[in-house]
Amino acid sequence: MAKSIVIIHPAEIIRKGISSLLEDIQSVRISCFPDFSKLNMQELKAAQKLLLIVPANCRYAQELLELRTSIGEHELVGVLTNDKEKCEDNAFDHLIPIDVPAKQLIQIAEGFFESDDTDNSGELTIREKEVLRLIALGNTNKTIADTLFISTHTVISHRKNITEKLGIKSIPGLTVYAIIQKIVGPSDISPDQLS
Amino acid sequence: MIQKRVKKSLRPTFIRVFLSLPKIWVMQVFSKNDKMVHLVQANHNLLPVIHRFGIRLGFGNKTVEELCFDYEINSDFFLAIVNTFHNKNFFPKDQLLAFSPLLLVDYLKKTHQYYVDYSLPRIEKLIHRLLMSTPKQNSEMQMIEKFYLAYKKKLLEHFDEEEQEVFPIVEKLVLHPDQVADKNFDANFEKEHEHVDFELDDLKNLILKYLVPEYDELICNKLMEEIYHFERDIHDHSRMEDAILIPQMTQLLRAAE
Repeated sequence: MAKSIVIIHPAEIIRKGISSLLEDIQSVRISCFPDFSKLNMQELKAAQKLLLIVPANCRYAQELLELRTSIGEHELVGVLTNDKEKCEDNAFDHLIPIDVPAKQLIQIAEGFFESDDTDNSGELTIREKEVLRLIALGNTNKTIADTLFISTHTVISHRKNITEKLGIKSIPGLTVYAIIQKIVGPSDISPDQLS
Repeated sequence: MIQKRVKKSLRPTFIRVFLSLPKIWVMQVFSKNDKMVHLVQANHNLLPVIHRFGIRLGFGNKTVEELCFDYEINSDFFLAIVNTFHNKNFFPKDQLLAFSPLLLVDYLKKTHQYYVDYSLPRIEKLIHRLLMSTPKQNSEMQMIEKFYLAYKKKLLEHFDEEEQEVFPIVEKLVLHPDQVADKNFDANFEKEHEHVDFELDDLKNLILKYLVPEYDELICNKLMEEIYHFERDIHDHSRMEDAILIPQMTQLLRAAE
């Protein structure tokens, strides 16, 4: 199975809610589990790309760590049930509050899976173009992560893919590419972005 | 049918293996008794290197050793530089480290001069002419020129830093080590050199992959030739600095302590 979304949450209403939001994403299989002990590890290991949606709660840190070290390419979405909940921000690629707009959650999932589709064509994905636009505008990895609701780790991984696809490594080079391709306008760029 | 297909798919591998081996065996290393004209005939890119040593044309049939003697040049050093430039895989590190750092500094200064006086302005001019040959001087294409100008500015600053700070210290360390006040000078340009490499690579890719199709092809050919030539030259130059000059300098600093 190529693409999978696995939702692990004790609350059935949350599992079913997220599942129904994401069910329209094409060729992705969604499975839901109330806790970590019920997971089918064989199935998880077989997935090429895995989006894990779990409670953003320190209580599960150990289980998560074990799980993450035994599966392939994946991103981790932490769901915050309330503001006071304790969690480690850095552990997650995305951290979303329980009242997150549905659109944003769908964007996260689509962004993760779509990067796979055009890998060999050398064309940038929509998400990569967005990251490139923000690089060209002079943003740091941290700002890009905050703007796109993704982790800096994911930003770095996008940057790596962009560089590999375009054959352009430097920030000035990427900026010029973004202008040539009309991803940004020449007037949007500050003069020192090339130096 | 199947057999045919297998054979066909294997062929490139065989050719590659076959071709790559003799390349190492027949690596051409020039010696003192070679005629100087033979060096240029074998690789015309060596002419600027020979000029950097102050040797002028009109070689006649003189050998490398004879001409080096005429021009009062250390022929071993000359050959080490020329052979390193000529062969990508030839880098006699120990031999190079054993020469006086003054010889190397002098050579590096002359290569800087060559870049500043010739390579960089020439590339700049050709990029501008290429740009003028695109329809309505395409505004996106203008960014390539801006990119190059920013790159050139950074490179000149880097040369300047080396000439103002690094080379004088090396000279002083050799000639008057007691006069060097700061013995903790930290010179490591590998990172900067890497950036220079990256941006030059980016320049090539931006032109090769993303230039608009309407342009003057003769100017473009010349430009690309010039960029590849410069890339090769500066790569060799950076390698001399990173692998020879900086270790020599570190050693001198340690000895002066």
